[in-house]
This record gives sequence, C-alpha cells and structure tokens, in this order.
Amino acid sequence: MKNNNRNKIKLGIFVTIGLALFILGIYLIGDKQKMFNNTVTISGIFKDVSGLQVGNNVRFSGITIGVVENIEIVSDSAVRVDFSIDEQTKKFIKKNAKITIGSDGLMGNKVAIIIPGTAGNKEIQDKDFLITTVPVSMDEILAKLKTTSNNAATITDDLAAMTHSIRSGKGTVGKLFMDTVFADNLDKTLVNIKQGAGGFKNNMDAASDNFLLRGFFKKKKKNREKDKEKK
Amino acid sequence: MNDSNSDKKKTNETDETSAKEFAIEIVDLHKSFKSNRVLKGLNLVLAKGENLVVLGKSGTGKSVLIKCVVGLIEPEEGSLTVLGENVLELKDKKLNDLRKKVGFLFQSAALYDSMTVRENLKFPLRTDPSIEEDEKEALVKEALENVGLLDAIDKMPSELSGGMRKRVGLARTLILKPAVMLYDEPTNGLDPITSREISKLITDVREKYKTSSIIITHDIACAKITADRIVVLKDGVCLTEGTFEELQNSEIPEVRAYFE
Amino acid sequence: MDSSKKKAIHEDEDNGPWFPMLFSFFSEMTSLTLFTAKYCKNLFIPPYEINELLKQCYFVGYRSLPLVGITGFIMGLVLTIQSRPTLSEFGAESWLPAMVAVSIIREIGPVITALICAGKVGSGIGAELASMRVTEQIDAMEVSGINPFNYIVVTRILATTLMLPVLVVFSDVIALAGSFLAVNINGEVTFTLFFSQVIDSLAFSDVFPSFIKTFFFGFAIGLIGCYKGYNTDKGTEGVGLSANSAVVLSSLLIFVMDMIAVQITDLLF
Repeated sequence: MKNNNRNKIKLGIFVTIGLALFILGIYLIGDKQKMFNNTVTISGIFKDVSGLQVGNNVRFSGITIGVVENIEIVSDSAVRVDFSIDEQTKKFIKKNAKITIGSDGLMGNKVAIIIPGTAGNKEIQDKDFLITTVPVSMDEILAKLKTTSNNAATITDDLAAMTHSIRSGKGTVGKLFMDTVFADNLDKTLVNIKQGAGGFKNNMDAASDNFLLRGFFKKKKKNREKDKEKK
Repeated sequence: MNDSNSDKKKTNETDETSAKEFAIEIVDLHKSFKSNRVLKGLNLVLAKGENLVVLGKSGTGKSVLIKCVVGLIEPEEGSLTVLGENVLELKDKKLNDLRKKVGFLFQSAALYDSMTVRENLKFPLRTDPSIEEDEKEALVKEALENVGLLDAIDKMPSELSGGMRKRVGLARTLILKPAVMLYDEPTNGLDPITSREISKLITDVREKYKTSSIIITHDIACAKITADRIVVLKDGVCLTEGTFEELQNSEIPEVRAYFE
Repeated sequence: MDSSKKKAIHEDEDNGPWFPMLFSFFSEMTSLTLFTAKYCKNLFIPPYEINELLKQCYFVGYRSLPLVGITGFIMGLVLTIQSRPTLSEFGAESWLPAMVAVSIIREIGPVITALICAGKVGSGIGAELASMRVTEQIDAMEVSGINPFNYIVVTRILATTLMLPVLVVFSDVIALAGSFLAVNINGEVTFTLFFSQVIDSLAFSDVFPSFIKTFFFGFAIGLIGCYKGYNTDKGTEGVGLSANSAVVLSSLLIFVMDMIAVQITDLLF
C-alpha cells in the first residue's frame, strides 16, 4: 500500500513535469509570435506581396519589431497587408516611412522591411497606412529586360543605316573613311611625326651622355638592377 | 432424438421444482471447436449438497463442460440451468451476479501474478462497495485459515509451491461464499500426499460452506475421497454413473481402466 | 476416389499460400476492429478502474522515462553531428539548431519514442496478457464477476494513450539538450542563442500536429499489445508469439499512422 502511494506520487511528478514542459514550450512559441503586448496596427497596400505570409516578421533597421497580421486582396491590383508592430518603436517610424518586402537570406522567409522616414515628420499612429515601395519581382525584371532589348533593336537598326551611309561616303565621317586623298594626307602626316620623334630620341641620347645629367641616369640604372635582384 | 425431446419436456414441466432440487442441470449440451466435436448432447444433473466427480480421459470435454457452466464458453446447443437461472440467456450484469455464486478453481490455480496473496483474495471483493475494508481483511484471513495458509498472506504467488497455489486459489473462490464449486483437475501436477490434502480440503469445504461441487479429474484417489457420485465421460457423452463402489465393480472396460 | 483426391490437392496448390494468408489477414482485421469497438464501448461503461489505471500509467510512463530519455538524448546528439557537414557545405551552420529542432519536434521525437515504447511497453503488455490468458487468470477474473476487459485492457490502452505524449515531451526536451551539447562540441553557441533559435524556428503548426499524433501512437501500442495478448491461443508458445507480433504490428502501425498524419498535417496547415 505504501509502495503504491509512493508510485502514485512519482507518477504525479512525472506527469506534472511533462505537462509543465509542454505548456512552457507552447507559451514560448506563442510568445514569440505575439512578443509585443502593446502593439499598433499599420497597413500598406501592395500590388504584389511576393509570397509574404501571415506571421512573417517585420524589420526596422534590421530589428524584428512585429509580425504580419493579416493579408487580404482588396481589388484586382491591390493587396492590403496589416502589420502589428511594437508600440515602443512607433516613435521611430515617421509618417513618410516606406514598407517594402524583402527576404531573409537567399532562401529564407519573406520579411516586411520598414524604411525609416525623414526626421521632422510626425510619428505614425495606429491604423495608419504607410507608403509601400514595390519589391522587385522577377516579372518586372523580365519586363525591363524586354524594353532594353527593344531599345537595342532600334539602336542596331540606326547603326546599320549609319554604316550604310558611311560606306557610300556620305557625310563627314563617310568622307573621312572613303576619300582616298584624305588618306594620303594622313599617311604623310604620320611619316612626319615619325621623323620628329626620331629627332627627339637623338636629343635625349645626347642628354644622357652629358656630364651634368649622367649621374641621374646612372642612379636610375642601378635602382632598376636592384629591383631585378630582389625579384 | 425422441429421448432428448421428451427430456426437454420433462425439464420444462419440472422447472420450478428442479430449481430447488438441483444446483446444476445440463440438458443435451453440444459444443465443437471447428471440426472437432467435443460435447455431443451431454446430460448431467448436480443435486444440492452433492459432490459429483466427472471422470474422463484428456480431451473428452470435461473442462469445456464446466467452462460452459460459468459462461466462459458458449455451447451451440442445449440448455444449462445453474441455481435456477438459464446461463445462456443471462446478460452481463446478471451473469456476473450468478458467477459470484459459483466458485471455480482453475487447473493452474490462476493466481494473479502481480498481486500478493492478500490482494489476490481481496480481488473478487473489490466491486462490492457494501463491504468495509476491515471486513474484507477479516474475510481474507478467514478464507486463508480455512485452507491453512494464513502465514502466506503477504507472499507473492511466485513464492508459493504448487499445492499452496491451489489452496490459495481455493481460498480466493471461497471468499465469495459460493453455493456451487467447480474444480478443474484440483490434484493435477501434485504429489500423492498433497493431492490427498487437497482432496480432504474439498470435502471440508462442503462441510463448512454447504456447497454442491463438480470435480473434474482423472485421479482416482481424489475421486475416492471426494465423490458422492461419479460420472464417466467418453466421446462427449456420459458413459455411465454411480458411486465409487459401483464403478469399482463395473464391467465396462473404459471404467475398469481407471481402477487398474 | 483417388483422382478426386489428387484434384483436391491440386486445387490447394493452385490457390497457393495466398488464399489462407488473405483469409487470415481479413479475419484478423475484423477481430481487431471488433476489439477496438469493444474498447471504445467499455471505456464508458463502469466500473472505472482508476487505481489500476494509475498503476499502469506508472509502469508505462514513469518506468519508461530512463530508456526514452537516453534514446532521446542520443538521438539529438547524433542528428546534430550528422547534419553539421551538409549544412556547413552550404555555409548554413547557423541553421543547425533550427533544423534539428524542427526535425525532432515534428518527426523524430514522436516516432522514435513511439517505437521504443512499442518495443518496451507493447511487448510487455503482449506477453503479460498472453501469460494471463494461458494461466487462466483472465478466465478467473471473469468467473469472479469482474469484467477483465475493463480491468486489464481498458486501463492499459488508456495508460499508453495518455502516457506516450508525456514521454514524447520529455524525449523532445532531452533530445534538444543533446543537440545543444553536440552544437557545442565544434564551436560555441551560448544557451540563450541556441534556445532562441530553437524557439524561433518552431511554430504551433509544428507542435500541435505532432503532439496530437502521439496520442494515436500510444493508442496503437496499447491496442495492439492488448489485442495480441488477450487473444492468444497457443499455450506457452503463444506468449512469445504475442509479444513478438505485438511489437511488429504496432511498429508498423506507427509508421502507417505517421504517414496518414503527415498527409493530414499537410492539408490542414
């Protein structure tokens, strides 16, 4: 009988601890999701939330300050997202702050990011709507890519017309390329420059032999050899 | 066929009186396990205050017979009246009430391994809220004293010898003060001396508790001590019956075999 | 005469071993269903064996704790050590606590604990009930006017159903402790960081489905153990057979249930 009672007490302790651990776990997990007792709700209208889910975190300057509370479609091109954020951070978020959607690492969860507004503006109030900036989505990138390629097509068209007129010797550039007299002149000019450069070289050689400047050139040579040895 | 029909009629007519005279009345009992027919229209009557020994070889359906009596096995056909109640028609509650009046000593004594002797004996009393804890303790001690095992009260069944287990098992059935006792091979697996002690105990029980008993056995020594009347079973029916002396002088070879 | 006999034998061969196997499978299913139905019915029928229930809870729950604790601890430790190389290949070692926590809570904790209990408790129940049946103890209860089903079966199934979730909670917590140790073998993670990473990675949708399925696992262990033990019929040999098949069948059932649970969780969350 005594043994029986002791077993009952052991069982009681066992079950109590088990339940306590479970409730603690539940409380902690729940606490994480509703970490902030006093919250304010702010909203934003997005065109595209790119996979944001209820329960995702809201970041401000990299700190988690709240969670996504509700997401609903309000029209064919607008999704309303409600954020519940800690009241204490309210004073840092100005009326002209912006909300955008980013992701947590390369493969991580989506997060809502509040970009702080400029100082001097009033702080946000409960049930305010904030300006949203559209997150860059793959579709948009593709759309941009399309305009880019369209532009490229026009450019290459122009280029083709241009090269055509150049070849037929029209315009200044055309003359430049197609006029043989001009080319001859250019050739002569180049020969002249070459001769001028040769004269300059002779002058320089003479200078290095000059006793006034010899020391300078020798020093330079020595330094060059030293560098070679080092290597 | 005709015989059994007339038998049935007779029992119907004498229902009232039989309830008083007979502790158990079995009429035309059939039971088979798959293709093996064990009981083939058995008729048996146990008078009040009588010690009836049922003799038979293994596999003649002796155990099946008494398990039918307490409703552990359901027969396919026949009628079974125990203490004036038709066992086959009883439902849970009433069947349990009847079972409390019928003691059953199992072949292996069937003590609950996980309980001490005291808890074993208290077990049948546990559902009865009218008995106080002190009273239960007294009943346990009384029952153990009647089988001479009072000092084993705090032992576990695994610490007991075969004979002691049988006696504790007997004490456990006696604690409900049954009107009918069913013994399934009470001396099976015991040495001759212990067998004799158990057999004497069975007769003592009849004296003290005023029970009527069916004793299933193939041990002729036990039958000699306990029997008022002996029934011999063969192939699922009664072969013959009589007192010990009558059977001793019987000419039937199957019966003679027991005495040689 | 002779030819007909041969034909009969031939027919038997044609049916092969499939027919009797199928037959025994379906008859087993039927009797298991009936057994379950009887349990559900008797659960609400007095007498309620509270004391016996507590005793069984003690045996199933408290007595299994050391075993479950040790396996849980090793599980957490090994899982963490084994996951580290893969994660560090991606440079995601900091995800280790989160990943291990989710896999322990969602899957490994419940299933391993249930399997351990199927081995320890299921076989114990199977063997105990089978030996009670063989030594006529169940019959003895019945003839002394006590409902053996309520006393033996209902209490045991209820005990496993109630105790397994508690054991899983312990196992999860201990496994996380093992994981914390393993994380700290190569590298240093403070307890606070580990703790907050674990809590951060878990959501209600991880905890509740896996908590609920442990009740079913416990039920399966108790049910199969009792069914196999209560219905044994092959004498002393049947005791070992019952214990054995109780473990095999309940382990299998745990996996099947787990599969169904995953589907349901997927649909709902």
